[in-house]
Amino acid sequence: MNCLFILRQSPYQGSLAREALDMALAFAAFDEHVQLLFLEDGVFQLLKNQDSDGLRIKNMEKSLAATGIYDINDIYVGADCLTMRGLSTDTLTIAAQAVEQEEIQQLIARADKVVSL
Amino acid sequence: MNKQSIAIMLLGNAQANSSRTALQYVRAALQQKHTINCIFFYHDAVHLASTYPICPQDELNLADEWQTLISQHQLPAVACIASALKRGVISSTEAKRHSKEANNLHPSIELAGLGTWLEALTHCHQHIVFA
Repeated sequence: MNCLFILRQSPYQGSLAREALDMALAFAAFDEHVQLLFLEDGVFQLLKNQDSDGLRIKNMEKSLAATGIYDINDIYVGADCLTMRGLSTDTLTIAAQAVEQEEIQQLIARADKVVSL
Repeated sequence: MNKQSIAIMLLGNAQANSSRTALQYVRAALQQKHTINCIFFYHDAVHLASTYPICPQDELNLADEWQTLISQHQLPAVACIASALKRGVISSTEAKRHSKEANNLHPSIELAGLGTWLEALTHCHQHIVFA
């Protein structure tokens, strides 16, 4: 099953960003084909040099580094969402492919299941 | 319309509008004879599986409403075990395991892992996330 996760939460506002990523990693652990698409404030999850020590919350960047271990290689980020926030793919901690609106539509259309969190 | 098998995931807490909308959605789906193959409480929605919320009389107790609907229709309902334990929603088994005095999980709802949601997602015609 090709499962597309749309991750829209900023990394440290509540625990939904983490629980959403946990779900994606769990699906991958069950050998499903998982794709990640970061949109809206979810793009902040991808930033390099995150320091969450002061908040005493687990670092999102470290969890994202685990995607490789789980064989999650299809990682996308909304190009417009990056631009709107003054970011570019150079500022990201993992290799994510910037996708335009039309490509996002194709990703959604091609997925067997879409889980948007 | 063909009868569908529908999986529902909830994320909002016991006061969230999304939890209220989802309740109305499930009632409407059942009325139209669709099957609900899973109600999965994730994130803050695990509070809906607790028997402890108490509301003023003129306010709707959403946790009660969900638990009644699930019991009446014998719907398969699961609260994510990791989300639930973190938020103090526990079964008698978990209460014993973690040496807690009381337990509050409604008997019509099970604690289980994300594998249950994956299973439901695999077998449903459609799924909806109420966030």
